[in-house]
Amino acid sequence: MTASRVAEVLAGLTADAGAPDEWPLALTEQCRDRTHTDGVCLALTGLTTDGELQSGGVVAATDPLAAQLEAVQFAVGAGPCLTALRESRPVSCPDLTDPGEQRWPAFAAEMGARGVRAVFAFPLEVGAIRLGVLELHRESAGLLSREEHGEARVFADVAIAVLLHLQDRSDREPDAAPPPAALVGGHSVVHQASGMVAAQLGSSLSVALARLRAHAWTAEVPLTTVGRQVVTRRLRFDDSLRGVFEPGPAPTTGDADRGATP
Amino acid sequence: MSDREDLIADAFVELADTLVADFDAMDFLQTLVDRAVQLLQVDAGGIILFDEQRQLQVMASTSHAAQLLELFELQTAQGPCVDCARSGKPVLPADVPAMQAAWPEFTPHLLEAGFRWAAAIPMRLREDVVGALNVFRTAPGPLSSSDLKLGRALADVATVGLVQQRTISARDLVADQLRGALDSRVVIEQAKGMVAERTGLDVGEAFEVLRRQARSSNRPLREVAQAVLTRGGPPTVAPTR
Repeated sequence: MTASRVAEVLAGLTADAGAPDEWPLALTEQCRDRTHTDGVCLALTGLTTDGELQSGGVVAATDPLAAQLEAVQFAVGAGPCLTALRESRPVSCPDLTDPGEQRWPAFAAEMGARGVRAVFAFPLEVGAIRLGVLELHRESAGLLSREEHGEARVFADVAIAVLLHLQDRSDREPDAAPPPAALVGGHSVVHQASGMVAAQLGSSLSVALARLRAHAWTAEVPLTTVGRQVVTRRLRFDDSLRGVFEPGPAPTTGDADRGATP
Repeated sequence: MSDREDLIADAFVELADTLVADFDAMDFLQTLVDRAVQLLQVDAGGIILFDEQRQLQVMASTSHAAQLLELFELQTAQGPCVDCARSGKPVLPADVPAMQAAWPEFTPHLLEAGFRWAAAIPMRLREDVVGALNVFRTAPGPLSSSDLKLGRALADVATVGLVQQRTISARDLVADQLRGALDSRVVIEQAKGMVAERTGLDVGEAFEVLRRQARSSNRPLREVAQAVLTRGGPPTVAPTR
C-alpha cells in the first residue's frame, strides 16, 4: 500500500521546513497552496473552567487577515470555527455575504467588510481531546472542490500530529521527543488507554495521551502495544519517577508473616 | 406474519423511530448491528467505516470484547472488509478453505476466536463504498439469498442513518459527516477507558454502562461519553446547552 497522504505531507514538512517551530507556518502555507485558498490559520483552543471554548492563540497564519478571522470569532462569540469545535465536525461557508447565510451575522458582517467571502473550518481533535482549529478563507465565494476539501482534511490531520509533537517537546528536552507520526490511528486500545491513564493520573486526556506516547518512545514499543498493556491492566501510570508500574498478582495470605525476623 | 417476519418488521420500525430530530447516530448504529446479527442469524457483527486514508474504523459492534474488536481492526490489511471495499460487492466466502486461501493471515485469528465464517456487505453511497456490515458466524456456510437481501437492506439503512441529518449537496458533506461519526467513536472509546478504570470493569462492560446511562437519561451516547470525560463521572444533572 502506498504511504498515506497524511504521512507523505508530514514527512515533507519535517524534511523541508527545518526546526519543528517552523512546521506550523509551513503547514499553513502548503495548505493554502494545495486548497487554492487565500489564507490559512492554525489556532489552539482550550476550555474555560465552565466548559466554554476559549482561544489558545494563533500558532501560525499565512497572513494577518487569516489570523484576524480567529480573533474576531472569539471576540463576538460565534463563527465557523467555534461551530466546528462545538459540533466536532468541519464547517463550510461558501459565501458570508449571501443573505441566506444566517449562522453568524456579526462575524459575517465583520469579515465581509474585510473582503472575506468563503470560510472553511476544521476542528483538530482526538476524540474528546480538543487541540485547536484549522481555518481556511477565500476572497471569492464558492465551496472547496472535492479534491481541495480532501487536501484540507489531510492538512487537518497533519496539524493534529504537529500540535501533539509540539506539546511533547514542550514537556521535555528539545531533541528527546519522538518524531511526529500520523495520528494515533484507528486503534481502539490507544483511546481506551488514554481514558484509563487519565483516570489513573487524575489528569486531562491530553496529558494521558502524551504520557502514553512518551512511554512508547522510551520503551521502544509501538503505541498500540502500550495501549493493550494498559487496557489489560498489566501496566499502570503514576507520578513516580519512572512513571509506570506493573501491578503484580495479589499477595496470598501468609506473605506478611514470611521473612519476619525472629 | 411468521415470527421471523414479525422480527424483521419490528426491527425496521425500531430503526425508523430513531430517524428523528434527536437522532443519535451511535445508538442507531448499535441498534442496527444488534438487530442485523439477530435477523441474519449470525453470531457477531460490526459496522465498519473507511476513513479518508482507507483505514477501517469500527463504528459499532455487537460486543465490545477486546478480541472481537481486534478481529475488525485486523482487517485493515486483509479480510472480507478490504475485499468488499475494493469490489463494492458483498464478500461471501464458500467455506473455511476458501477463507484460508483468500485471507491466510486473517483467517487463523477468526478461527481462534471461535468463528467459522465471516462476510462483508457493502455500505454504499452513490458510487462510493463508505463502509461495510461485517458479520461472523460460529457455524459454517453462507447466507441464504433471502438473508443476503435482508443484509443488503440493513447495510443501506445503516448508510442512510449515518448521513440523514444533512441534505447532501456535495460529497464533501458526506465525508465530513462520516468524519464526525468517527470522531464520536473515539470519544466513546476514551470514555470506555475512563469508566473501566473507575469501576474496575473491563472495557466491554464499561461500554454497556455508558449505553444504559444514555438510554435511561434519554441522551445520545456521545453526549454521555463526553460528560464522563469532562467531569470524570456520569452526569447527575443534564448540562445546559
